[in-house]
Amino acid sequence: MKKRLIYSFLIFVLVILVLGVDSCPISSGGVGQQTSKSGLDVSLVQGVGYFNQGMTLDQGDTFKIVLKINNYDTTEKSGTICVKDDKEDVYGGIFDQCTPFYIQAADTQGNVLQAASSTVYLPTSGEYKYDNLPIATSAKLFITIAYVQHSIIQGTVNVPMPEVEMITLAQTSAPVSVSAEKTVSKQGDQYKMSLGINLLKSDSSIILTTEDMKTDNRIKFSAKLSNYNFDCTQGIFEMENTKFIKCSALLPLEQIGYPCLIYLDYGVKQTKTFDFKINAKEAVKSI
Amino acid sequence: MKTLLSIQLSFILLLLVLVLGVTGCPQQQQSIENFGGLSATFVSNAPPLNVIINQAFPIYVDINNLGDANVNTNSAKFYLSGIGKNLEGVKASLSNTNLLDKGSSERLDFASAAKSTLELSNPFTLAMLLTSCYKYGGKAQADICIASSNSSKICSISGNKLNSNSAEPIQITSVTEEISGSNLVVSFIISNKGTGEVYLPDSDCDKLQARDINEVLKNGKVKVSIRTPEDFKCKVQSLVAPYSTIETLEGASSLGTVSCEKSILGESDHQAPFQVVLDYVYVGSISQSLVITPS
Repeated sequence: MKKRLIYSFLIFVLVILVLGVDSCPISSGGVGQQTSKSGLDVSLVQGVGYFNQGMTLDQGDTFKIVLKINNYDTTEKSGTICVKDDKEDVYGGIFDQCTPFYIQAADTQGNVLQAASSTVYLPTSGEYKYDNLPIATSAKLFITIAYVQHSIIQGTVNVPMPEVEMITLAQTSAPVSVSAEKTVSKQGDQYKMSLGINLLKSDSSIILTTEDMKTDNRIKFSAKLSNYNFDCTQGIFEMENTKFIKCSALLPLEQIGYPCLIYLDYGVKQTKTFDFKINAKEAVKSI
Repeated sequence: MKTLLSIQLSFILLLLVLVLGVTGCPQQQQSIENFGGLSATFVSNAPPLNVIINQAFPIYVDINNLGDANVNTNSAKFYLSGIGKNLEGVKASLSNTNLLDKGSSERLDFASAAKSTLELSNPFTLAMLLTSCYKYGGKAQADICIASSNSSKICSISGNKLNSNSAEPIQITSVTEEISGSNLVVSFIISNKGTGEVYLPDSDCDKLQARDINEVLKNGKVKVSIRTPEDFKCKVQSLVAPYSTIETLEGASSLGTVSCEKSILGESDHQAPFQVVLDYVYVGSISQSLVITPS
C-alpha cells in the first residue's frame, strides 16, 4: 500500500512538472540556426557521362559537367559559374564557358536551416570531348563561382552600461564576418558611444567590387544606429583580409538598447580545382 | 480508512505540485508592490509583447495607492525610459491628474498610438523601464515605559513597544528600550519594506531621474519627526547638506537604527506615547519588454 502511494506520488510529480514546463511561455529571444555549411557551396553531381573528381577519360569520351549549387544563406543569390581546364583548346575538352545562375534563399522554418539548391549543366549545349592529345596526361578542371553578397548584420548596443562590450551580432556565415566592440564616454549632457567595427575575410574567397565584379579587394560598407545620426566613414573600402572602421553617436543620458545594422555589399569569387586524367590516343599507344 | 488517507494525501500533493508548477513559470508582467505606497502595472496588451514595424499600439500604466497616505494631484511623477528614438509617439513622463488617496487608482496614457519605424533585419527586443517617484509618509505608534529600573511594577522596559504602523513602503519595524546609567535609551529601526529606493522628502524627481549628484546624495535617507511628551533627544542628521549629526526631535536619518535618549533622574515610573512620523520620496521601477519584428 505504502509502495503504491509512493509510486502514485512520483507519477504525479513527473506529469505535473512536464505539464508545468510545457505551459510556460517561451522566451522571445532569438534561436541560433544550426548548420555546419555556409554561403554557397558547389559540388559535382555523380552520374554516367558526368565529370567526376579523379576520373580517367579516354580520348573521344564525351561527358558533361553537372554542378549542384547549394545556398545556405537566407538571402537569394545570383551570379555566374565558369568552367575551364588547363589544356590548350586545340585538344578540345573543357573550353572556357560561363553561365548565369539564380538560387533562392535557404529556408529557415523552425530551428533547421534547409539549403536551397540549383543544378547547372555544362556545356549548355552538346558535350565535352578530348581529341588528339599525343600522350597520356594529368589535367585540372577549374570551377569558378562569382556572386554578389548582400549582408545585413544586426546587433543591440546598450548605452551606457556596460561601458565596454563586445556586441553580439546576428550574422549568417559569409566570406566576410564582422565583430564590433563598444565603448561609452560622457560628452556634456550626452553619452558618446564609439563602435569599433572589424571586417574579417574568413575564407579563401576573393572579394570584388559589385560595380564591375572585376576589381579585387573592394567592399561597400554602411551602418545605421536606430534613428540616430551614426557618424561613420561609409562607402567603398579597399580590403584585403581585414578592415577596421570606427563609428560613433551622441545619445541621450538614459539606459537604452539601440539596434545597430551593418550593411555589406561585395562580390565573391571562389575557385575549386578538380584533378583528372586523360589517356593517350589508341593509335599512338599501338605504335 | 487507509485508502481515504491516501486519496487525501495525493490530493494535497497534487495541489502542492500545481502551485509549484505555476510559480515556476517566468512572469510576463511586473508591478511595483509594496507594503503600501503606489503600485504601478503595465496594462495587459498595452503594450503588447510583440509588435511589427509601423504597427500602432497603446502604452498604459495603472497606478494604485495601496498605502495610507494621500498623493496630491500632479505630485507623483512617472517616467518611461529605455525608448529613445526606437519608438515614436510616446510621452517620456506623466504626473497623476487626480488626488490619489487610499485605495484610489488612475490610468496613465503614455501613448495611444506608439509605433516603431526602425530598420531591422531581425526581431529587436526593447526593454522599457517605468520609474515612479512620489512623496509619501506615515507614522508608527509605540507606548514606551519611562522607568528608572528594569524591575518597574508600572511597566516593562523589555520587548518591542511598537503598536502600529501606517501602510507604507518605509516602516518602523521595532521600538525597544534600555537603561544606560541615568538615561533611558529608546531605539527604533527604520526599514524599507518595498522594492524601491528612498530619498529625503525635498528630493526633486526630475533631478533624481537625471541622476543629479546632489539629489543622489539624499538616497537612503528619510525625514523623521519624533512626537512624544517626554524630553528625548534623538541622534539624527541635519535635513540639509552636508547632513551633519544633530540631537533633536526632527531631522534626516538613514535607514537603520535611530537612538533617542532622556535622563531618568527623578522620574516616576509611567507609560508615555512615542510616535515616529516619516516623510520621504519613494522611487520604484518596473520593466516591460517589447519585441519589435521587421515587417
